[in-house]
Amino acid sequence: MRYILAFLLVPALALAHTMSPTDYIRGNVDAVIAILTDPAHSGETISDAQMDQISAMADDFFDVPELSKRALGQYWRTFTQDQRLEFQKIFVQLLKSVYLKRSITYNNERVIFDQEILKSEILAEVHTTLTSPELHVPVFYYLTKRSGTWKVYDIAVENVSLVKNYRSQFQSILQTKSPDQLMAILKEKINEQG
Amino acid sequence: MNKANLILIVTLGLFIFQGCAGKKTRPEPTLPMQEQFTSADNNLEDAEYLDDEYLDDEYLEESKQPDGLEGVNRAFFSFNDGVISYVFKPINTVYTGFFPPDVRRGFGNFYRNLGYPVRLINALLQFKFDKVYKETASFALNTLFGVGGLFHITHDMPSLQSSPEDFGQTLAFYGMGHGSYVVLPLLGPSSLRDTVGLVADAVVHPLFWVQPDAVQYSLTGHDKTNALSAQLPTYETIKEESFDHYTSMKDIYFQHRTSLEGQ
Repeated sequence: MRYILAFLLVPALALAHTMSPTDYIRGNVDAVIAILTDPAHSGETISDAQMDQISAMADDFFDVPELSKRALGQYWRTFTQDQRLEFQKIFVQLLKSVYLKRSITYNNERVIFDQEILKSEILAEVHTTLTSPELHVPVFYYLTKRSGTWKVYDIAVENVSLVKNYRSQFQSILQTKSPDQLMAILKEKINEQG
Repeated sequence: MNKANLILIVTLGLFIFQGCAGKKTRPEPTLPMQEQFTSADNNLEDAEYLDDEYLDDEYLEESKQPDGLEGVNRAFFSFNDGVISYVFKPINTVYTGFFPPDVRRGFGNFYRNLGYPVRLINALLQFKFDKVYKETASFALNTLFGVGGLFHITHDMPSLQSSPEDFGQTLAFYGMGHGSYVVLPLLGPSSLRDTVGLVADAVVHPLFWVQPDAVQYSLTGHDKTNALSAQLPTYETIKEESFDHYTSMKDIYFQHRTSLEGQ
């Protein structure tokens, strides 16, 4: 099954260069929903195979260096080259675990694409709404184009930016702790979440 | 005061994301933009971002979220968190066991509809006449055709959606800043300005005028319990995913208020 899906994703990747930001988000959202609603895994819980597939998608979805830089803000300067690379690795792992957890709570919500704002050649916003009978939750994706491909560098849920929220926490920690200590805290968190 | 009243008072305010608005003061960036980026020479194409208003916004907004009362705030924050974990959660288990989700949603719809005067007055005070129209139309439709507001029939009418106005946002509209972040016991995150807003809005709220007092407290307590019950999963997710729960909640509060203010 995984191979079939991988095969299905290939054309999407090949087209990435000419894709609009909305197409890019839509492609990813549809693919994740397809994995989650895959009749082959109709059990109550999400299987490991499904988790792996989503995890692989998340790797390509985010612009990890940009995310990391923004999440650290002015503290980015105080990280050595090695620490930056290490931080990126840990941070993407963390984002993935959050992303995966959110995916698991998927409950047949619909994703409505409201608006695409092209800020410049390389910056765009895609505004979506996650709708269910109870709620309309605005989810905005912030994208940047690198090497011809759009990637996500921030997500805002209900107008609360994920990156800004991480930044506030990282900065609060880095006021009293070293970069290595921060990374130790993050690692611990990842282990905690399993 | 009997036991039932005590429980009511405890549950009364457990409304975590109760919010109001905030005028953002833009602090000077601590580092010049150029310096921040040229030093980040890790083979990212930094240069192309330099002139971007986006990034500009991001860094400048490094909101010095004012928190002059941090010591007290942290104490109340832990207290509230403890109340949620050890007092509210057991209550919530009974509550959600007793009322199925649809019923709880109906309660939520009813109380939200009832808060119409608060949103109306604050929309008027800010001359937001489109919101006056949207709120009034929603209130009329939900009250008349939604069994007194139990059904949120305007939920799927995009033209009638509007973010709720409150007195904190009205004060922001007239130029007042947050003053400081405040964590209210039981009521949760707020700011000095938004606390004033909470009090003002409470007086305008129809529940405030319900007599006798016992009925008023019961309804208010039920409103807050029901609202917190709906928000508990979000609260738990935030708690679970944060490294610094206090800072995360403070940031969410300010981000949320700033966005409401802009709408």
